Amino acid sequence: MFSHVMVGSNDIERSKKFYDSLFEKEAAVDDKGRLAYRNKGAVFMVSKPINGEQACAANGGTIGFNFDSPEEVQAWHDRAVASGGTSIEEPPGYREISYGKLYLAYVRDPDGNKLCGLHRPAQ
Amino acid sequence: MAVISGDGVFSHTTVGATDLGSSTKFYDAALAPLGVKNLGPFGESCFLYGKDKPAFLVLKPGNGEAPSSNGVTIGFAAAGKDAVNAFHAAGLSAGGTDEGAPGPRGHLPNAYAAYLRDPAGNKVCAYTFE
Repeated sequence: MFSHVMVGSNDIERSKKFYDSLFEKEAAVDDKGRLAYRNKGAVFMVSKPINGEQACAANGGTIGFNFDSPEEVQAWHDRAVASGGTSIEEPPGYREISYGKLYLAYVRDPDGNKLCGLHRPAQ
Repeated sequence: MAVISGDGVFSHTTVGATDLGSSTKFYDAALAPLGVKNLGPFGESCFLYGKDKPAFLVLKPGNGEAPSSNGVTIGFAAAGKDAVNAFHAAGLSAGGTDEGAPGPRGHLPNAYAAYLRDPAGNKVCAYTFE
């Protein structure tokens, strides 16, 4: 469904350090200095805004990533915190919402972009 | 209803809305050519979109402030050039703003894409490599 998601950065080196650690792989860097992380047919990208202004996280915007187990979500969260990210909302854990049970963790990247790690147990 | 789950590495993405009515009108139109449907409201301040399961959420920001972003783009996969063209035309006619006309994107082989901003200013695009 999603081809890619791009977020803005005010410090590409800082972002690369964060996301290389978060995704446990080194970014592909293109000729515009943008970072690309490919996984399962989709791409997550990080770029300085092309209008030259400050990057600004989306208010109301969240990017969620699928994981196969709660342990993977927890480890992803912990890598984020160890690499310049910030844990937000409730600590990682199961949440019952009206249409199911999810294991969720929320972090912000060093520029404030909101990310979510999600595991959907067999219902 | 199925639990939120996208069909790949991305479980879901969300965008903020200033006015849910105008944002859903836009996404109903723009995403239909991509096979993504409005799956209905989730609570009072959120609408769910997806092919069969919710994967894209249009919502009023929880802090009550206006949506805003710079540098953020959500890219949707399209089945072909016709779908990219239809995404762009339908979005423009439903309150969207042009951010890049349909056409080849030379930085990637076979890429063909179109860009829009939704009524709240979020940047979205449709890509195909067909």
